[in-house]
Parts: sequence; structure tokens; C-alpha cells
Amino acid sequence: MSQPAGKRTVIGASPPRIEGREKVTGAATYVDDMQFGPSLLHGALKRSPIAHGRIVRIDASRARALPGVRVVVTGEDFPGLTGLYLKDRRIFALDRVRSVGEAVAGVAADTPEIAAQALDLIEVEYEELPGVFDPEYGASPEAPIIHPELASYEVVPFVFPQPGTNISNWFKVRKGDMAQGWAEADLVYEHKYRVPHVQHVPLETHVCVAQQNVNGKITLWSSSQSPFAQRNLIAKALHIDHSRLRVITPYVGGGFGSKAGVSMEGAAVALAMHAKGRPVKLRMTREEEFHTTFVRQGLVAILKMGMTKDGRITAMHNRFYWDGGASTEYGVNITRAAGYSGTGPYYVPNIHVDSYCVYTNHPVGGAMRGFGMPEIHFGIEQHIDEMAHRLGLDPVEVRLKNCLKDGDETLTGMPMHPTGLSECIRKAAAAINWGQETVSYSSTKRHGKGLAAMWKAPAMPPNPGSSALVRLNEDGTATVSIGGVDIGQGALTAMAQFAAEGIGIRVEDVRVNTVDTDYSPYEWQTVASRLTWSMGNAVLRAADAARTQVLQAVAEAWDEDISDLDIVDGQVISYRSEESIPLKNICIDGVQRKDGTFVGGPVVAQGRFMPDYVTPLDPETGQGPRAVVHFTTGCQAVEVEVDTETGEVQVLKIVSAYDVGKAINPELVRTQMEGGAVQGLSTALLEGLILDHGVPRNPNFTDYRIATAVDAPLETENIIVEVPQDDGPFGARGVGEHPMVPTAPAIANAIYNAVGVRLDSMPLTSEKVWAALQNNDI
Amino acid sequence: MSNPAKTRVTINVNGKDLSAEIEPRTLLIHFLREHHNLTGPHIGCETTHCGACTVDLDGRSVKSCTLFAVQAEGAKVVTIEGMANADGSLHPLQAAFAEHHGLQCGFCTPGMITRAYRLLQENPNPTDEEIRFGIAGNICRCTGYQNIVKAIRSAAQVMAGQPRKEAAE
Amino acid sequence: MIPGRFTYHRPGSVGEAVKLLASLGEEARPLAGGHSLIPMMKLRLAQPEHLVDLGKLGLKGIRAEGADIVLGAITTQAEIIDSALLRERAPILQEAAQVIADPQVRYQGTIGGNVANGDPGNDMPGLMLCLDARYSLTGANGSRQVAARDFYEAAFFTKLQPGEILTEIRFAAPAAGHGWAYEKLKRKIGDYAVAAAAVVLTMSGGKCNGASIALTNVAQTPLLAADAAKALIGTAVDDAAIDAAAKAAIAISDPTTDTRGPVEYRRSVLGVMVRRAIARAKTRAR
Repeated sequence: MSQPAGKRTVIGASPPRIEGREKVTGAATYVDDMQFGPSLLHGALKRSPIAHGRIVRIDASRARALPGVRVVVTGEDFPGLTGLYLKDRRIFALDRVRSVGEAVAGVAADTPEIAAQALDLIEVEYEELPGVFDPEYGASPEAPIIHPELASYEVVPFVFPQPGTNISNWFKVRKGDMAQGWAEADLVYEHKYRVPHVQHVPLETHVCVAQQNVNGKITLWSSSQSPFAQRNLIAKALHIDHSRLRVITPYVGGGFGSKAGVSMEGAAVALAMHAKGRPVKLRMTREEEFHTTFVRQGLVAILKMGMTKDGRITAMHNRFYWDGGASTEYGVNITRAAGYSGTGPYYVPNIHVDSYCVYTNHPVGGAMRGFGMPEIHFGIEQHIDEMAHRLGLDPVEVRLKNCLKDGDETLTGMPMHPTGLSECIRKAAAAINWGQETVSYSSTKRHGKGLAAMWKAPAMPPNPGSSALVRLNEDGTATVSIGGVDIGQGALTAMAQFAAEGIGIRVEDVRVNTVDTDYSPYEWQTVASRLTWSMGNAVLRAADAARTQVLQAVAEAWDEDISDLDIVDGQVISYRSEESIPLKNICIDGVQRKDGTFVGGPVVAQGRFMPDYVTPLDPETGQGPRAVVHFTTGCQAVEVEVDTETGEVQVLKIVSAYDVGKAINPELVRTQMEGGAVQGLSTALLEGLILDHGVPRNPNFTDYRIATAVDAPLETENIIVEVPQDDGPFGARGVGEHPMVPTAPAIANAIYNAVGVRLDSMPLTSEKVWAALQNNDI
Repeated sequence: MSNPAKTRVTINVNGKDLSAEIEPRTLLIHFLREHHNLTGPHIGCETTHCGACTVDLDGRSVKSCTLFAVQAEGAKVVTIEGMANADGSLHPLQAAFAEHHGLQCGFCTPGMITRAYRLLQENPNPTDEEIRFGIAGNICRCTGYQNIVKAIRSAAQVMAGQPRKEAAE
Repeated sequence: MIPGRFTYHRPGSVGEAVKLLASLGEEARPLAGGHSLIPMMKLRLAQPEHLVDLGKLGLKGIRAEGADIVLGAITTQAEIIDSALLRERAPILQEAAQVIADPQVRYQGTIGGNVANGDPGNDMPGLMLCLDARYSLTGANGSRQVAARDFYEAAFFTKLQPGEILTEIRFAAPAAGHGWAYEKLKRKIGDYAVAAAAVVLTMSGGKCNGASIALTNVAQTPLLAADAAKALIGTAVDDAAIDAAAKAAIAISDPTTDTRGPVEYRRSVLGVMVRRAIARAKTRAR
């Protein structure tokens, strides 16, 4: 920012990850790797076997009497309500269970075996209640009410629960004149699309250790994307001072949104509060991870769109029914994000969107990579394709005609900022040789191409803050403290690059700390693809401030103008006097003046960033000047091979093109694109929780399948488009989530292109393709 | 039910004989992690699927969550902690994973590298397809595997003494 | 995911092992590669009080005995894949072993474990039916031979008696110049079959003069598709013969609707697997 562009060396370069050596040697420490010695207690949670029911009686006396059992807690011990946006759940169920797997009691024991035995000894009597297992039904007046107390729950101002129903949030967009929109259309098409619950499947399941010391202070070691949000929510729920709860997050073995907010961590703290100083570990089994932490919500989307015969979209009426599950940590905000993004990345003059978050007796929906966007784009991007096909138009041309361009009004009335969306669509199409017939070498193996575009904004409150501290050390290296978490995306490395660039030192000379809320500055959460942009701004400002502290001292000591001074590779230099001094000589002890005295001192600098321009939206129309901070846009194109006899789909190539504003570390950007595309492919073709009246039937890797190296495409191509973000550091905006947003509809469109069948429910399994082919002789 | 006695098990791990008095039901992963603080191999699923717990045992890649430690009595085990050279320099696979972004969160990495090590011992010059089939027992949720394949290919070249080629993008 | 407690035994000979199993009775289970048993024990679906490790009984190895191929029960899938003898004389076993589970499991999983536990999802039992293998079962009262084609009674029910160990598998090597193929449709790598077919056939003068076909995971047990094989004999293995064979195979299948797909799908793709396996076997026959 403060340096001339020609000098820049670190931004836009691709240094390897700064923590790479630790991770390839096994030295990187994750929570489960930490050693707590023989006093460690092993926690376990008693879970509801039924989807919906009243708790008639809990008798834990036999568990308490088992030798080796140190703590047993139930809902009565911690009756307070908690929740990020809507306080609608407890750490342990109190009077009612609302999903299979909901925790009703917790134990801590000397060994995991004793803890497991103790769970079996806790007797719980339930009176079963009728359940809700479909969001459309759940939103209807006939459905049993899952949260009768909804009216009394505390809620943030931008979420609109509908007491007396199962609707925990209803987001509306009303814009233009629908009647006119339909009248102008030559084709009006309506269709319903379904997306099942999927799970994030971080390789490291949720794990945490909690310990309370004699002063009452609690430390929580937690594999978390949100150490500060965990501190905030748990402190409030358990009535602990924030300064008496310390959350430490070492390396995290993947998150993808599942480790945002609080899921099981509150239970560990609750157990520790009764454990007389002993640490309590709670680690989810893979089965627990599949349905009791968070899942991606299911979606039923009913889309109706009008288009003229030359391919102009005239109107959209879209209804989204989100299967939010038993309670809503993030679901209400996913619903909101889907609402204000509900047209997809297109200019539409006449719009009616309803996005409903519906309580069901399913697992609790949380944030997952894309935050609602993969789900809504699955329908929207197939719908556009289908309409283009019905009108005899090229789907790429239709997208280019309608996609948002600089200054176009979005569905909430916000003018679109400069965006490279059209460029992404053109480049992705070119890279897949769009329009060129593909040769199918066998009569039973058909090739096809498909493409889908996307947009996504960071979905968050209007004002989430970031902060950073930069300290210089005696050897001229820098220590950067941040509150955001590297969950694999490369945040530590990107922040090191910002700090190095801002100060004027080498990336290798920057250390970035993992999070300890007692020592790290505040960060809202590691979600929404916001760290590079938001925390990057904070780090850059802190680095700038550190640099200024150094240069001010040098300017005074040398009697020079600060504008003539610079720091390059750890040397402070004067362009005027051509004098120089190593940073390490002065960044702690200060600079010696000509009279022998010193000026300056230890360099410690802070920076912070918070968007201050996002406005509320009208609750009835969804309209407002600035709904979000920005949108990252992009496009994917895929080539597939479909086996017409077995229905198998092999993805041969995925091209990803995203407008990232500015690639701080292009190699890390590409890894996000590739990783996201394969996660998108995996959810598109393989994944989906099977819920039978709320009972998960496949909470394991045998029947819930994750793409392996063999399932990933042999060929990927990643295209970086850079249209700068006005308030991004060096113009950067986030791209962590976006690469999995359009993958599923792109594959679905390619299957259609290959064999002429359209699949409107995920996953796009072989048997669904086969069944569709039976009805569609080609 | 009887309460069977503990038994002493000795396994040569990374060149050193390590012993512990354990119950026969102790799995190899717990022998390594809990009794000897070798926490590089990770527990990702406990159902023989994810491969995060992979170690090398007598020249075979095994998932240490599905093997009792008593079964490995007297065996030679190599974990990720034993991969680097004696002078602390990285094994070519470790160096390649770090250099080619063959990792993100890093949780699968120890198992992935240990598996790739055995793959290259058996097939020093694998095709990309052979690499992909060779690591099909290791799940990575972050990378999409492209850079893992690239890293293994690059390490194979280094180990064969070939000049390192910049992998095509 | 902690198995129940058990006492571990590592006998040094087959005799010792069967004596142990006999004296310990029903609470004892033999342990081979452990890749079926240990997961079951972790889920507490199996809680044996004693495990008798078969690892040191000398049951490893692949050898030719005259016209027969003999596989020790503790031979791993990886050893099958690496065997020069099998590459030469019975490569279908290698083709099948390569589509079982994943590399780590193949190093540990044994042929004996795969064929003995009666899991209809396992691939090797079908191969054994196809090759008309015989199993050597040894118990306290001595050894007996059971044909693979008689061995499987229902899912997880076999002719193996409590206290007996499967020690050896023996089959006549298919004739020189035979064609072979194992076609397996799976949801993804490492999975059990949605449907799979093993085919061994011989051709002479452009006509098929010998064929054997077996099916995996489309019924409670592996199935020998005798009528399907018969449909090929005497034909040029043309499209009509292949169609007839596929129809005959489908006719005896009895798959269930599960996470691998509905019945009609599994039947249909079984036909595809049979057709493809026959076609590929034909191109390999000399």
C-alpha cells in the first residue's frame, strides 16, 4: 500500500507454506496429539436414539456409582440457551430431544472404556413425539411444532423467526413487477431441485480438551475455526467471564465450516467445570462427526424463471426450503445468504424470492464451504441450462448475456462492484473447448461438457472485526499474532506475506502464531472466505504501523524525512543520504542519535479492520443500498464420460476460473480451486447422508463415500482472474469456498450434454443416471 | 469375563526397540501414540478407510488402527517421525510435499507420505495413474490430490537421481 | 472404538492352533489378517474372549503341485498380485485382487480370510466357484476337503465348523491359453461390488469348448452361473451367445435393494458385467 508497486516482490509470489516442514515430519501438533498426562479424563456424550420426544426421566445414579467415573452432567446442570444468531439450543437437552444424536448427558471418566460403560448405565425414558423430516412439510401448518418456545428466543435483528411455525428465519426479496416479467417472457419454466444433507468430513474429527484451574479460569484446547466465537458463546451460555475462558487452537485438521461456531465444545467445558481441576478430553468418533456436530443443510428449491427467446431473463420466482435440523447455529444465516444471492450471478429485473429456514428432526445444519451457494446453484445453474436448451440457445451465451456486470443492480438493489465474471465464463469455456464436439470413442461411453457460473459474498453480520499484532524481534524477524485459524487454506502463509511486504523483510523472517485468545488479538471467525481480505487488511495495517515506528525513529535520529526512508530485505535505507542500517540493530534497542542518545524502542504495532458500510435490508423487500461487502464470482467447466450401460460418471477434466481480485499467493489460490473442485465433485457424485425418519443410515466411510485420488479428475486447470477489490489488501478478495459452488451443476449439465438426461437431485449416482436413461432412450 | 493379563510387546520403531506392557486389545496406533508419543500417525476414522494412521510395517503399508500391537511383536515399523534423514534433512517425499503444496491441513500428510514411501520402494517410476491407485487407501479432503500426485512424481525423480523437473501446471 | 478384552494366542503350528480352538470352544476366534474381524470387534459386533493368531502357522505361499495351484490361507492379496506363478497360470486371481479394497488392506487381507468368512460382498469366493477350488479345513479331528461350490450356505454361514481352520486352497489351473476376466462395478474404489462377474473360458477352432462363470454380491452367497456358462459352449461367443449368458446369469441372481442401488439396477448391471467379462475373456483366449 505504502510502497511503490515496482518494488513488490512478496505479493503475488508463491512461497511454500510456512508450516510445511512441521506438517511433513509429523511434528505439527493437533489437539489430539497434545499430552496431558495421567490426570486426563475421557469424556463421552449420551445421545438421543430418537428423533423427537419428551424426556420423561433421566437416571444417572448407576453411572455415577461406577468406579472411575468422575463427572456426570445433564441438562438440568446447564439450562441456559445458546446459539450464534438465534439462541435455540442447550449444551445438553433439557426437556425435549429434537434429533437422533442430540446430547442428553455427559460423563468424564478415567479411561475411554469406563466412559463408554457409564453411558450405557445412564437410563433415559422418552415419550416419542411425531417428527418432521421434510422442510416443505415442516413449513406447512400441518407440521408438529418442534420449538414451541420460538417466540421467547433471543435473536439478532437481521433474522426473522415465525413463532407458531417451524420457520426459524424467513428472508424475502421483492423487486420489480412479476406480472410484467412473466408477460415479457417467451418461456416460463418451473422445476424442483433437491440437495441432501452432506457432511464436511474434515480428516480430524471434532476434538477438544477443557480444564479449570483453582482460580476458576478455564482453558479450552479446541480444534476450531472460531476460537473467539467459542469463547464468546460458551462464556455466555455458562455464565463465565470472557477473561476467565481461554481458547487455544493449535493446528486444525480441516474444517470446511464444520468447526465454525460451537458444537460439542460446550459439553467439554461443562464437564471440566465439575472435574476438580482435571483436564477432560472429548473427541468425536467418525460416526458422531457424521451427524452430531454439524451437517450441510438439505435443500428443496422450487425455481421458476422467465426468459425471452433471445435469452434475456425477465423474472425469477425462487423458493428455498432449508432443512435446518433440530436447531440453527448457522442455518438462519445460510437462509439469509441464499435469499440475498437467490438469483445466482445474474441481472434479473423482476424478482420474488422466499428463503425459509425450517426446523426439522434432522441433524443440526451448520456452515459448510459455500454457505448455501452450492445448494442453490445446483438448481439455478441447471435451470438456466435447461431454458437455454429449450430455446435453442447456447448456455454460455445466455450466461454472458445475463451475468452481472459492473454497476448492474443485484437482486437487493446493490450496484455490482467491478467483477471479472464475464471473463471467468469466457476463459472457462475456452479452456474446455466449448462448442467443439467431443468424440465419444465407444458406443457405451459418451462424452459431454458442462459449465456453471457462481457468485458468493462473505455471509456474516455487517461488522465482523479483525485485528493483528506485529512485533519485531532482536534479530529483525517479525512475530505476527492473529486470531484467525489456518485450517489448511494457507492463512498463516498469506499473513506472513502481508507482514513481510508491509514491513520490508523476507517471508522467511516472519513467524505467525496459532491462536490463543489470551494472547492473540480478536478475530470474529475463520469463515466466509474472509481472512485474506479482512484479516489481511489488519495484518497489513499492523505491518505498516511497525514500519512507520521504525522509520520515524530513524528519521529523527538521522535527521531525515521519513519519505526518503525505506526498509528493503531487513535493511533500513535512505534514498537521500544512501546510508543504511540493519533492522535488527534498531527494532528493539532504538536508533542512536548523533549525540549518543537513543530514540524508538521495541517495535510493537497493531492493526484492525472492520467493514463500516454494510446496511440493513428492508425486511419486507430485501432491498438496501449495500447488502454485503463484495461478491467473489467465477465459473467452472467440466468434461465427463458417462457409461450408458452402468450410469457411471467419470469426470475427465475440471476447469476453474475465479476472480480473486489479486492472488496474494497464486499457488495457494490454485490449491483452493483444485481442492474445492474435487470436494464439489465428491458431493456431486458420491455424497449424501441417508436419513430414515431422522436415523442416519450411512454415518461411516463404507456407505458415505469420499472421493479418492482415483475419483479426482486426471486433469485440472485453474485460471486466476484479477479485477481488484477496492478495499481488499492489494485488491484481494477471498476464494476459499467458491471453488466447490458450481461443480455439481457443471457436472449435471455435462451429463445432460453427454446423454440427454437431467438429474434434479444430488448426488448424481450411477443408478440415478441409469434409471433416467431407461426412460430416455438415446 | 476374564481379565487377561497385560503382555510386554516390543516393536522396532524407526530403528529403536520400543516396549510397553499392554493389553492385547491395544491397537498399534495406540501403542505408537499413547505409549510412545509418536503422534504423527493420526486417527481419522478407526474403520480402516481413511489411511491417516498408515505406517510401514516390515515392508508393507498398514493401517495401524486395524492391527493389534501384539501382532506386530518383533516387527520393524517406520512412522512419519522416522522418515527424515539422520542429519535432520527431509526425505525427498517430505521435501516434495512441502514444496509442491501436497498438503493443506496436514492431517492426512503423515499417512500419505508413509504410504507413498512404500509405493516408490515397490515402483520407483510410477505413472500418474499408478500413483493414484497406489494412494487410493488414503483420503485427503483438502487438496483434491493433484498436488499430492505431483509431489510423489517429483520425489520419484529426485530419488532416481534425475534432475528435478518443474511439474507442468 | 475399543475392542473388548481378549486373551491373545500365537500358536506355532496348525496342530497347536486347532487344539487351542477346540479347548477354548466358542469364545475363541481365529485371527488371520484381521481386516474383517478387528473392525467387527471395534463395533462390538464380535466379542471373542480369545484370539488365535494364525500368522505363524506356515500357511503362507503360492505353489504349483502338478496341475494344481495351491494357496496357503494366510497368503495376502498383495502376494497374489505379485505372484509370477499366478500371472502365468491363473491371472484372473490377480485381476480380482487388484479391485479389492485398497493397497493397505491388500497387504494385510488374506485369501483365507476373504473366502472363509462368508461375506457375500467379498470377491474371492466367486473366483473360487469359478475355478472350482477346494478348501482344506482342519479341525481337532483332522482335515477334510470341501468344494468351494458346496461351501457357502447363506450370508456369513458356511460349511466351516467351529474350531476348524481353513488352511489351504487348491484348484486345477485353467487350461493354457484360457481367456479370463473379472468385471466388478463398484460405487467407488475400495467398495464391495454392486455386481461382479468372473469368467474363465477356452476356445478351440473359433468355438467355446469350456466356460465357467460366477457372480459376486448379487445374492446371499456367491453364485455359480452354470446355465450362463452353458450358453457359451459350442458357440463362437458372439453377441447372441453373450446375451443368452447374461440373461441366464440375471435369472439366478437375487440382489437386494440397498445403498448400492435398487434391485432392478443391480440386476441390469450384473448383465453388463457378465457381458463385458465374457467379451474380454474371449479376446484373451488363444
